[in-house]
Amino acid sequence: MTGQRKKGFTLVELLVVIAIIGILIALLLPAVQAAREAARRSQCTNNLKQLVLAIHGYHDTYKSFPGFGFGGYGNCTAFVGILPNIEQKARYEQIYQYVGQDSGNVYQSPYNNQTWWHGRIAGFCCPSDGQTTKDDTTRPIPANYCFSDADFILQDYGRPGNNRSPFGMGTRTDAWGASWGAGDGRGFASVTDGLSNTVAMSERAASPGMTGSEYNNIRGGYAEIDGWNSKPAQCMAKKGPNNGYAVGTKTHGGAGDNFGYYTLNNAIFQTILPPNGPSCSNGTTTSTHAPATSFHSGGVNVGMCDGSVRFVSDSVSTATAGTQGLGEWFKYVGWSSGESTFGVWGAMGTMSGGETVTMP
Amino acid sequence: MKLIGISLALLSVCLLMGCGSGSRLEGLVPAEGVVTLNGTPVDGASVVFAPKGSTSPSSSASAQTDAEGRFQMMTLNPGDGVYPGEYYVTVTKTVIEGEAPVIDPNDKASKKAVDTRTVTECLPMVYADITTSGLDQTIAADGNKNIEFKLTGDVQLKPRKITDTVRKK
Repeated sequence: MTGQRKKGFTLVELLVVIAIIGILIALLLPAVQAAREAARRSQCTNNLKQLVLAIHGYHDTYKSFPGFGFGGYGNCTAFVGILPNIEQKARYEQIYQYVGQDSGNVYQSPYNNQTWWHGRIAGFCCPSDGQTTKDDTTRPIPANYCFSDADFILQDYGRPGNNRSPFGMGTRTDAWGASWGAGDGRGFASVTDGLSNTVAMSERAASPGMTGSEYNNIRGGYAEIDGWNSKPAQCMAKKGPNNGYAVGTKTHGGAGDNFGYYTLNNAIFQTILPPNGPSCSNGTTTSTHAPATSFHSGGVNVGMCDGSVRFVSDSVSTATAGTQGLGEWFKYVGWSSGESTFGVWGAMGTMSGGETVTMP
Repeated sequence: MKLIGISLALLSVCLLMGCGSGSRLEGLVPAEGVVTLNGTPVDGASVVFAPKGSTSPSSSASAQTDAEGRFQMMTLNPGDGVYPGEYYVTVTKTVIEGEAPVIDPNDKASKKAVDTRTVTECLPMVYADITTSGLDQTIAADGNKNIEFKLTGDVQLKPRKITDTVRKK
């Protein structure tokens, strides 16, 4: 035994090796996670581009942007109109066949129990959003993408109600047989700011699987406010640390829960509050602040009317020098025109504001 | 050996924290203070700074007061401050009481549910409008951590129904 060492490693040597491996893994893990998120974001960007191209396909046919129906027009979102352009023609025809016979809501009993309303359409989902990656046939089809309402504060039922953005209300009389909501003649020619300068669509983190305190998150949740008396900056004050809402804020869900039916702000966002800002509504129907939100770090994907997709940072300017920006009070109640007072972000939203801004 | 373990743990924590970077704005300075009504701190009030636009860059900012009436203005992220410049200021506190009715598309009766919530303005309405609040603030290049908004006046707490639409087109 004396002077003879057994072949092998000592405990210290083993621990050092394990430590080194640990360090290497610790170095690698964030890089792998970042690469995975980059891949998801890339797929998310692609989905958005396909949807904007579908709007172009729709425009080729109907010479109009897809519109929203309301009340007697079926309460459907502009997603329903572009279904045939994203290879969902069968679903479109099911919805059309039944809702065409009924003057009520597109998603009321008994139609809302039909299979075509449930499950998941992959092209409507951003892979970065864990809420929409599961295929759950018991719930309505969620959507992570939404149409621009420009710099207009939503009044009721999350429908666009202004001439600021390309997406308006359809009229049933002439358009019902031809297409959903192609009614008010808003086409590419209406976009006098230029198709490449005007936002068509962006993202909203959805809340279909969330409950209770999970709504205390700016991604998917809303802060409860008195809608008719709330300026954007008062909604902004509800933002708390870590992408949550301020202490004591009552919250609820509703974002992106149903692609086709717009009770409570499905499928709409505004270019007023900065991307990944807080959402606020009174919890039932009226007046809503719904900024673009995503799970990407530091911003959101935005699809422009010309079919291009760009990444807009959370720190994009939301106030124009010489205006009160987010302090404004219902600036565009009614039907008005002119430059947006909500900075670069607001200017990107309007289709005919006449602003001269440099795109971020 | 313990040392290696501890340093390893620290290293991995540092690396993992490096992932969570968001956007922030450059050039913001702190703007903090306290809101009182007739000498009593106001909890849960919304403070809004609307820029007069005389300087660039400018942006509106907002904050909510805590139990001691203290607030830290935020432009993009909680507590990040404001751009130096001149601001109009409004201070409001709107309390909503009651629960929103749950509307289920499967249940026609639920669509007729009555929304019984009430809304109460808890501060004098004079402070809700930039033209009447008289609370204008100038934030210097080094910020201001001792802003005092001393509100005065009687408040009649008059709850109104949330469905009363004050401004409808």
